[in-house]
Amino acid sequence: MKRYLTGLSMILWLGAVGLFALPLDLGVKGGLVFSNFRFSGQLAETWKNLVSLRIGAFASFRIFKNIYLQPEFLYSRNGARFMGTYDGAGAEVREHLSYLEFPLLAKMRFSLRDDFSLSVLAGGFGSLKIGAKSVVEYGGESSEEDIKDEIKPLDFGVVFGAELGWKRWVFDIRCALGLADLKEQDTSGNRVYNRALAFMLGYRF
Amino acid sequence: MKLKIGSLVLVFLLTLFAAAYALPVAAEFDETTRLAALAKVWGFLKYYHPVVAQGNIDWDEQLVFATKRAKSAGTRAEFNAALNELIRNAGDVNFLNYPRPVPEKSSNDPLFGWLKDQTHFMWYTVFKLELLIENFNVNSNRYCKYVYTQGNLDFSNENPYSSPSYPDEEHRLLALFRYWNIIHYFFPYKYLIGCDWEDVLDEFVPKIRDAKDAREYHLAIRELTARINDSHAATGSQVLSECWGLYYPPFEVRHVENQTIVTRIYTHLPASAGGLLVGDIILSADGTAAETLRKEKAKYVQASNEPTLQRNLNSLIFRGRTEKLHLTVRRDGQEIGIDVIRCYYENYKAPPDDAAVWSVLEGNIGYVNMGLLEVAQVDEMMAKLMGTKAIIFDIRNYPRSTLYKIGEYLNPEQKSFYMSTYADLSSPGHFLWKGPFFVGPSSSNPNYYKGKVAVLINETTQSQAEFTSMALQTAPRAVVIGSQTAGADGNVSSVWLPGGIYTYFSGIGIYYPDGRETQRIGIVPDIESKPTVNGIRIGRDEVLERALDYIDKGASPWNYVPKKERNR
Repeated sequence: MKRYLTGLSMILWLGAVGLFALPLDLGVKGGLVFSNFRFSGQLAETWKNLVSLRIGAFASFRIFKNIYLQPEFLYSRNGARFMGTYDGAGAEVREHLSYLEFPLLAKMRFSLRDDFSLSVLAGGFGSLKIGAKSVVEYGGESSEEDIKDEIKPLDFGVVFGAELGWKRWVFDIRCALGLADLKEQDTSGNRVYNRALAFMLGYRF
Repeated sequence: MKLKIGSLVLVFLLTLFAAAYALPVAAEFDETTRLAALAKVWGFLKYYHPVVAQGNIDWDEQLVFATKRAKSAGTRAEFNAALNELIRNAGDVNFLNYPRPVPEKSSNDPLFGWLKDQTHFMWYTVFKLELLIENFNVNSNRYCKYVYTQGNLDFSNENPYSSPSYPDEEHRLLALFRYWNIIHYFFPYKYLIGCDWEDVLDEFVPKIRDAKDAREYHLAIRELTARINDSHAATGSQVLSECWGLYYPPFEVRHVENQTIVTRIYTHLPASAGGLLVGDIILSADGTAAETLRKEKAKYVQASNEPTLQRNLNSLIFRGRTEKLHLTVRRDGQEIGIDVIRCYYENYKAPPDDAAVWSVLEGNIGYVNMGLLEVAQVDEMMAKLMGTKAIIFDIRNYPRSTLYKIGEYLNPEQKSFYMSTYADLSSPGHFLWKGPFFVGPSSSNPNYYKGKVAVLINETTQSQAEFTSMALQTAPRAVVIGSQTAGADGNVSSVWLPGGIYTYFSGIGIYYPDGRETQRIGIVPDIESKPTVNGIRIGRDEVLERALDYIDKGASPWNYVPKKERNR
């Protein structure tokens, strides 16, 4: 717990420093996230991506030549789905986890011709769980259950990706890997982490 | 015309009958069946859910809540909501725990046959439980762990709730559910009890729920534990002791030829047998016929088979709550009344046994009382008996772990004499084989005992006594003489139930090396011999005489004593 809080306060602190010390570039972005789980010691190919929305805002500061610092604030839905058969009939399990995510990215920007630019992104994120539900469907019936209490309130991890810029528009592709086990209580010996591939379109004011 | 109406009625009735027969049997959904279904889910989670197994959740308290909810759940959906709350309180079955969160198919294991009950269980509940079966992940369970190397289980972490002796309804049901699940998952002879264990649950839910007072509750538990038909299943409590009475009769009886016959009078107790004699047939006690007393109490008596049931009744039917006991007995064709003064339990002592440990009978035949022989005496005894033409090992008693030592003298080499089964905690409800195990000298022994070996058994021969018989049966010239034994083999496990009740059961399975059981059937004698009323009256030991006869005649015993059909 302490570890998460330290991580989170670091991000906020750095954000605050950036805001006051450097020229500001603000924007909004949104897009789709293909989320899934990563299992420790086991192949996770059995779980399929869940596609959900992700929206948020970002700030970008030039701190050195073509190096930028970019804190973000995102609402992101993660999770995964599984399809299988039980006694010959189709069954589906969908786990929806929603977070407020705070990525802090370092960005290296390369200018291309005709107002285009390409950046590489790397950084970390901390996130706060705001909800979790489990939906199970089988034989035409479905059951939904709130599993908020079973998911850890905080998550953190690493992010890396690339961003294509054109004038005031940005398009980025990024991969986020959670590093904290999602479950409050381990009952299976498996550790489960978030992983997400996001495609977002943004606009800088 | 009359005939026509008659046949019309007949056709109508037949149609009704056929219709009734063809209707699907709708499973009941009432409070009793809901509670039985809850018992199965609760017990399953106790042994199959990794978080419950850790023991940090008060799982008994969870049952108390769930029982209240299940009672008021009028529909299947409400009942399943209650079950799902129980599952969530267990730490849930969190789908994202599993790389494969959908169970492949419903389990075909008869242990979980109840999961197919769609009247009570919705698919979602079953789904979760099946996942736990498929992904079993309990390394150690607080509620059951190995205690001996033999594989018995220790249930001592169960909260005994010793008082009050009349627990509230939820804790009475807890007693039933705790016991039912322990037997369901860990009784190695569940398949031999002779009835469907799930029916027993349905039957006892109302009995135990509606028990009006401590006495009714304790008797109901006693009756429940008798249903496993295991002579080891002794169940006792303060309430039960007082129910049977704290005054003991100063005499012993046996059930011979369907009569209750006095076999021994105790003179060492501060009590009086009132002139009762060995050989008297007891017809009634305090006005109730002896056979009626037996029938009334039979359902409370734990026994693997009929002779053992009667053996256990022998001591029970003459216990009472008063000092005085009036008997009507038949002696020499006449009925006479006898007033007995019973012995208060605090003054009761086991009768002194001054019989010889071993002796050499007429005709150079050794006789060993296995109930008295100590391991330290075996070497000296065998040195003296080595030259006899036969040795009779009397195991109509409880031996003192002498079988391995004796076995070294009786066998030319090691011989396997049993295999065992024990609970597999990596798959609760299943059992593993162990063995075979051996008796006899570790290196070959040309100087083994060459004479005949006769082993005497009867319904008193129980557990270690039966085990000893199995070991001695390996001797090259061994013959077993007597009658059906208690049929309860294997070290016992014990468990406490709410209200200060303790109970036992055979905790491991014992089998001959070829897989034959001894549970319930007991040791099957090669030569069947039972005492008779006349024999007892004139002081004969007919089983011993039968052994002497066999040794003397020397012929193969099977030639002239047809093996009778023995009841299992």
